[in-house]
Amino acid sequence: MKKIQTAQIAFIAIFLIVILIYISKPFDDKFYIVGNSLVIALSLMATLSGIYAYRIYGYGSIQGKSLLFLTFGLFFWFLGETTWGIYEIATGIESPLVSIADIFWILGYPFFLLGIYFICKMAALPLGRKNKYFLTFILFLSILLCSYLIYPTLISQELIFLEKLTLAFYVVFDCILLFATIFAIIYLKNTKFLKVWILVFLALFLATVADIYYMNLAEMYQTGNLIDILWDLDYLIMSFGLFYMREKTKEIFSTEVKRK
Amino acid sequence: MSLKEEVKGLFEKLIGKEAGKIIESFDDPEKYPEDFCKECIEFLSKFIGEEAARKKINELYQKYKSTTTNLKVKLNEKNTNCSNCIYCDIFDCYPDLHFKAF
Repeated sequence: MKKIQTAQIAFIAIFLIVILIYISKPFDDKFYIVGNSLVIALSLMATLSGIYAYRIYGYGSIQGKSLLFLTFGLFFWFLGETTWGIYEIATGIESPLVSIADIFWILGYPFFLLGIYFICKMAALPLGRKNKYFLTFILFLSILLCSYLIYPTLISQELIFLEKLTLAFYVVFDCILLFATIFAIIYLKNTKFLKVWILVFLALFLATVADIYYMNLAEMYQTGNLIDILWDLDYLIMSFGLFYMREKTKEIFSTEVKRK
Repeated sequence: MSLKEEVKGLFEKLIGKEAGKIIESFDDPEKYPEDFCKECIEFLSKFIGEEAARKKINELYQKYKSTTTNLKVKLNEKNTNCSNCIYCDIFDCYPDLHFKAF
């Protein structure tokens, strides 16, 4: 428990530092170097937290598979952030709208979905009428919201087809991920790990808001924008969630052993 | 396979090898199978929720019971008369999952 509390304080401290950096914007016109480095470091931290959590379960278990796929998803996002960083820092190409980085980001989504699928498979219970109605309502709402949000991008004259497709993909798949996470929350609502999935939901929600903002302002976007804080926070929350999962599992195991 | 091995297999399949070892700290399933099952449900609930844990452990318990007592057990048959229901003799009544011995 002590470790979790310490980690909580550390994560809050990191977040405050990130905000301070974004407010003070050191190196002024070279701030994109700091911004890129931050998001790369945080996405790496999330990936490492994923590996840390996965190792206690192993691939042989359903929980382990779920965590492994989530970690793969995070790893691809880390590769996306790194590639974007390389573009901006090393080659001097500012904020490329469609690039190899997008391939990595896009590749991360199916792994996230697989991870959520496996965690739901663990409980494998019929959903019940109330939950089915609730999920249908959320699905309907998501489709409406998604269509409303991506429509202006799809009809934009300033973007080429590939750019429209890429930008819309993020928002649509963010919504799908959020919907799937609600599924997981419903399945795991009476477990000790509900907090983890609420954190994952929150992290993905922040990423969705950031992606929506990015989609609408893609042409004007520059690294160092305040919206970057949301992506940073997304990785930070994800890191804490996965770290919490590992520590909570250890705590449960040791309590059971102590009982003997 | 014994009840202990079955449950161990289930824990390993769901939560991993470390969880399989936890079984050693539970009551002896040969002497106190009901208490053992209760402990397993309590432990598994923390990971997958009580309803799912009960369902999974009860399936294994019924399998064990049918082999040890030689009773034929019909799974998932709703039983309105709880005095005939093996399940209710052991755990609290759980209406969606009655097991009728006949």
